[in-house]
Amino acid sequence: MTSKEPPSYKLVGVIVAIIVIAIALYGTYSFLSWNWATGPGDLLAGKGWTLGQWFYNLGLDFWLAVGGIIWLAGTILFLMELGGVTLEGLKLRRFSLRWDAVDIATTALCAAVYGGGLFATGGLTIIPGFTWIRPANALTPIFGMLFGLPGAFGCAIGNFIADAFAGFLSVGSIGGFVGNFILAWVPYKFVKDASMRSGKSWAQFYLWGVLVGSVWCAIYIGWWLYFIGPQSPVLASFPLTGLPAFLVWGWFTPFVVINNAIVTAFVSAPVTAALFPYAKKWGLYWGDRIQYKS
Amino acid sequence: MPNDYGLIAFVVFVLIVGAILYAMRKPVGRLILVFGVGGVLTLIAYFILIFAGVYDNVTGAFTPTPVLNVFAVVVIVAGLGAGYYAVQRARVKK
Repeated sequence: MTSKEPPSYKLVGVIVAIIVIAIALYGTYSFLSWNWATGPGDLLAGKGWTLGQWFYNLGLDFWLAVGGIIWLAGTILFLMELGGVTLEGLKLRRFSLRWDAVDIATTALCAAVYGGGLFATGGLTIIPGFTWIRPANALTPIFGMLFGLPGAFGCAIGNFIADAFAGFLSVGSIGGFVGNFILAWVPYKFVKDASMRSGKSWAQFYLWGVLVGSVWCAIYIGWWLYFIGPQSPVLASFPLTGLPAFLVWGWFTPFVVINNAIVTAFVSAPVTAALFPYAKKWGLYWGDRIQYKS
Repeated sequence: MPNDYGLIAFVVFVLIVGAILYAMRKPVGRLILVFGVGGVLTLIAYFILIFAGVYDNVTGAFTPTPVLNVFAVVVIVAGLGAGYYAVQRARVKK
């Protein structure tokens, strides 16, 4: 870590990392130590997986409202980035990416490596038809922080490819498309120093890249599955997926949070630090390719 | 299945929007066209795997999936090839 920054940044970085890793470890431990001999329906009797039970007890009305706001924010940001407008702090700013052969090839690189990495473990099913154990999720912050938008869009496409090859493709995959974009977009926007050479960048990474990104992605996809599912307030008579609300909020969403958090917390930051000099040298680092308009 | 029809309609919609934007020479049109073409290719692969019966062998938790792993290696190698191409092009532009 650089010696120019105040020592307090390093302390903040360590504290944030410890808190986020503790949350990820607790979620993983509680998931693995749950009594799997009983069924997932025990959640309805108040005896579900601790984290899932906590999520579910917040209530479907809560998730419809809060999840809806989070979903809407994610969708607007996704469309804004497609349209060449981005967030800089709290301000909107126009930018231009050439989307030339280099950007498209970078998108293809991320899509193929992420997609292939995901569906290689497609047999480790957690909720059949909806999610599985996905160690390759560790790649999303790496691609986002190094390659920017091409990396984030590559992760979106990669998740779609993985859904298809793992046999999980459905209308729910549209939510996964944007959700995985968000998972890469959050660290791309909020970790200011992708070289990971300062305590501040590590603190930003654990807060935004691990915690916020994981939660946002999970709630985004969860709300979409709930909204198009059999207990949807709108589409209940014509559901597009078959996942009941208790599985969405009590199992799927918290599982996606801990799956994302645990792999990104331990793998993504050091790999990004190791790859940054190469991305920079090869001319693929997003900061060298994007142009902002005044 | 309505589920598949909805997805097919969505992918075709993205493909058409991408083609229109690309024809209008909008920079982002190329990306959206990639979304559409990628989506169509993915759907084709998906239906091939369905009719080949690969998914019938994936029955539940912790099922070994050697076929999927072979596909995964092929896709990852293709991705690394795209990455190599990107690096070469980026160097030329420098």
